[in-house]
Amino acid sequence: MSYVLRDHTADVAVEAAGATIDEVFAAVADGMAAAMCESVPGGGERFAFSVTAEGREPLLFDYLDELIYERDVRRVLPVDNRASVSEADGVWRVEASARGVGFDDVSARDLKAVTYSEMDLSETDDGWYAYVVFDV
Amino acid sequence: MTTYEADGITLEQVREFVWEIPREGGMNAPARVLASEALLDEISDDKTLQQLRNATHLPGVRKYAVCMPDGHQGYGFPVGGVAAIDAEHGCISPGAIGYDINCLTADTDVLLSHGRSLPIAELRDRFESEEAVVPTGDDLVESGIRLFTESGTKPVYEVETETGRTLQATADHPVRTDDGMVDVRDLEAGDTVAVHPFEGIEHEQPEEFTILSPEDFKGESRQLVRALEERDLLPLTSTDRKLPYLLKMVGYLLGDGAFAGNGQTWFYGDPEELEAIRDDVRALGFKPSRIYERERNHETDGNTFETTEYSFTVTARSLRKAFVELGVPEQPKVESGFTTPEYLGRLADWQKALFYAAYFGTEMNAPAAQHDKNRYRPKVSQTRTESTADAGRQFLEDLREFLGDVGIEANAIEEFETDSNRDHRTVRLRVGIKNDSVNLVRFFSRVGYRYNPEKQRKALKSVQYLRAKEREISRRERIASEAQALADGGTAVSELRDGFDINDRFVERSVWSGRSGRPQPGSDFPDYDEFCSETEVKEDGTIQSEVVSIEAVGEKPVYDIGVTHDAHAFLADGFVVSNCGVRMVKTNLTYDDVRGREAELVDALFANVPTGLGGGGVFEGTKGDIEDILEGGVEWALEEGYAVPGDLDHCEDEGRRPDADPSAVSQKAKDRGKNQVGSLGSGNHFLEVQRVTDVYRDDVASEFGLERDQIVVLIHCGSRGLGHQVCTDYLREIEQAHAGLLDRLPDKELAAAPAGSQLAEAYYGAMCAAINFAWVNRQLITHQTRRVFGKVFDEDPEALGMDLLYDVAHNIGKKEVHDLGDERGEVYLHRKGATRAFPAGREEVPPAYRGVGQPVLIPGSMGAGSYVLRGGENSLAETFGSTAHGAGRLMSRTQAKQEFWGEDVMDDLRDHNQVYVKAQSGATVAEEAPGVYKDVDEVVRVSDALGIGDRVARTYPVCNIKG
Repeated sequence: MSYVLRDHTADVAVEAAGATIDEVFAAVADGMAAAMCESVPGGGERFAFSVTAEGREPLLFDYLDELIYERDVRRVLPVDNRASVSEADGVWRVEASARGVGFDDVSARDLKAVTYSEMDLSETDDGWYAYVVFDV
Repeated sequence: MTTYEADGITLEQVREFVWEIPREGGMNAPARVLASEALLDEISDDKTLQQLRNATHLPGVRKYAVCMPDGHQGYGFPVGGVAAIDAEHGCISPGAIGYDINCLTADTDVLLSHGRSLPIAELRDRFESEEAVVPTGDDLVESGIRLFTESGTKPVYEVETETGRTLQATADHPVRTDDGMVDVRDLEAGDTVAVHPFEGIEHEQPEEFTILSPEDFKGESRQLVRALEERDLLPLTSTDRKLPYLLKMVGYLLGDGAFAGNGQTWFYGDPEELEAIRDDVRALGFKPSRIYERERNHETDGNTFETTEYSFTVTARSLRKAFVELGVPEQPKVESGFTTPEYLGRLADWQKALFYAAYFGTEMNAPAAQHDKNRYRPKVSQTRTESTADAGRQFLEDLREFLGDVGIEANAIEEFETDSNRDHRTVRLRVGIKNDSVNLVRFFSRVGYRYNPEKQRKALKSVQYLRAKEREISRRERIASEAQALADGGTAVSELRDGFDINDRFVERSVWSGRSGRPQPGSDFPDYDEFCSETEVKEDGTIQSEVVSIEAVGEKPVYDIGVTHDAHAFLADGFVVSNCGVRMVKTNLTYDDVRGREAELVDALFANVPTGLGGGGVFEGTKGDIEDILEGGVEWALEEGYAVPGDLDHCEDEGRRPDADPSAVSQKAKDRGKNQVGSLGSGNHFLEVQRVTDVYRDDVASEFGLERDQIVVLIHCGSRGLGHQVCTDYLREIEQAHAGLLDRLPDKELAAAPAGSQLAEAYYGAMCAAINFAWVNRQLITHQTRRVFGKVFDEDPEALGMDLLYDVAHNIGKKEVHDLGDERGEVYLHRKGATRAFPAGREEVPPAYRGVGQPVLIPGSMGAGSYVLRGGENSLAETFGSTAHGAGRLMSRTQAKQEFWGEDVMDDLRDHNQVYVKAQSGATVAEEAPGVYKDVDEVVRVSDALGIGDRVARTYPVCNIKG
């Protein structure tokens, strides 16, 4: 899995790839962390959460939104993301976890929100591809 | 014509600095870009123009969408975009049972105007010409339908209420309850929901024929005929839009009306009733008189008593003549021989129902209790002379036949001899509605009473009561027959007693003695009068009803409609984000007072104003505090000691948006807000100490209290995580609720809540609450700044003259009234990265500045300085009272980080520009380096030249702190 930060005039975009949908979810989340912070220190506790949505793209949106929410209320930067995506009866679900680095231990900037703008989440010959623009 | 080609988009030059993308394809209006060619080169370099064009696809965009000179690519709508979105068209349609209709199954009946209904799926081909009925809480209003969408097959739930009525809808379908709108998924048995018991009659298209033609008016004056022609009443056909009003009035006049000289038609009734008729008179294009009131003395059996009689009149020979032609007798009714108007029999059932229901409204007794001794039945009677009795019989026979056609049984006509009339022998004819529950429910819910709100309310209560009673009786019947079957099969009665949720005696009677007829409801079932006194009918006719079950009923195709509805528009999410804005605080210090102390000042500010990610806030609140902030805005800050009274006078909206609805802000958003009250955040937000370097308009600058060399403080930030969470929450909800609308827009990020919908209302309330939060945020930073200045300059902050110049948002959606080209109207004015710039005289400008125009604050980049403008006199005509909001980015953040190094930028600024910068993150400084922004001077030059925002003063940074 991998991610790259892409140019976007006012905002920042994350382009990510992974062998599986699980990997690409986690890769976008790590890319989001990278957009907030250049170098991530060790330490911090892992925390887990789950999110459900009505589709694959909405799930990615809600997953990233939840990470931003957890960041603000736990006051940690979520890094080293893991995600497991599943679907049953039309309900999409991600079981996720992240290592939360306390704000005091990291020099990070705010990232305000995830957006749907130009969002892409698709299966490719090599696995999965995602493109997400964040409002910073 | 000069044109500008940009990546497939052609802009035509309207005049200097004004470029237009003509309307084409799905655009609802043209788009304009206000820019010099140099700025246009920059604007067309990213997706700004495509996004601007996409935004004009939003329903209800008026006149044109505008891009300010500092425009750049955003998400959905471009930053620097302004759009006025019609405030008359929206999307809400609570139908037959008081719900928003947005995801209902095909057979859900939608109540339409004039007492008609249709299954929602059948609206597909005719929604554009239809009117649905919308309960607004205060009233039941008719409203055009703007949208119809099929949303594919989705899991559907059936909600059943205590009256046995059901609704099938998706889990996210909102239902009106005591606690506001609740999604079906969150409903539980025992919750109460709003239902509207009136069902109406299924719409059908009447046979096309002429009812009144000019021949019917031969011999009348030309003027009279013209009066009718001008109002589209002549010729009158069976399908005319105005016919329903006439049918109701004719029905009413056969009961309680009279003609008088001078072309007067008089209507008598209760004031409430008369108001309803007056509305219809206006709908026909005539002017009703006011309602007259007079005391009348009556004498009955030697007792005199006084009553108040209410009436109004319409004075129009033409209308009076039309009524006569439509069957209203000119002589006293008893002798007139009036009968069913000839044309009525050829009309559709729903049209006949209007005529009869209005007649019932005046002539039929009101719903009442069903006692054993007093078997209530709704009935009408007519007194006729011997010679006109046949006409009367015919009228009532026709009436019975109509009722039969719509499934309502009436008794045979009864006749009584009377001799009350001195001149003639008279006979009284009477027809009653059969009074079994099922028949009465049909009568009240399909036909009922028109023009008589009191009888209507009683009819609605009766429907609820009779349905609930019927449901209870059916339940008891089931128990009785099951008990009997079990007993026949050998189950002991002692066992049976415990097996049913009913008293023992009932079981015993069911098994042993049997019972003749259907069982009665139990003694704990309320009687009619009790039920009526406990049941409230809202002004819009809705009644609270308890939910008894919610069950999944599989997957079904679901549909949406959206109706236009008063004072609502499409509220577009995604382009009104964080209520981000700017405020400027003045001081009476000069640059000389600050020189040499910049480092100390910037450190003190940085230490006292939270910045960056996780910096906390000036104030850490509880949930209750956050709600108070959302509700009160700067007023909260004043009460808590973070503001002075003058702050309110110099803030947009005096620091408080009255439309704020804290309950529409999610818990998640409030959680995020708790530790961010009074914090700058990151990105392009900053606090800057500046010096005034140039003054362009002395008179205005003096009104603003600005002069050269003066030190001022500019604070630029928004509503932080709370505002963003509000935006995200509603974006997702809108996406789910209005998928049909969204599918037709070119960009998902343009998600629009069709106005009038519960979601649009909620979003507007939440956004206004977030605006209050943003003001408080900037206010608390102001408070800290005042304290820091007090300490650094060892003075009482008040003695430093640290007054607020102005606080203005540049990411905001607001209801405003504007000139829309062909008319004036209320719009939701969306300014995404654009600043309100109202000229002198506009009412919304605080009194302090009304004479010179609203202050406009344009923050520039760190090296280039900022501007204070005032709303220009052309702004209302050109840009709906808006101008730019800043320099506008040129370079992406990622590229900026490659090109600049934070430390270098800071050193450069300090050494070469005497600007002291302190930031949480070096990367932020690199991202915000002066070179990444458009030339703010050029942006302001265009604004000034167009007269939308006039230059007043320019400021240059001294110290800057950021996240």
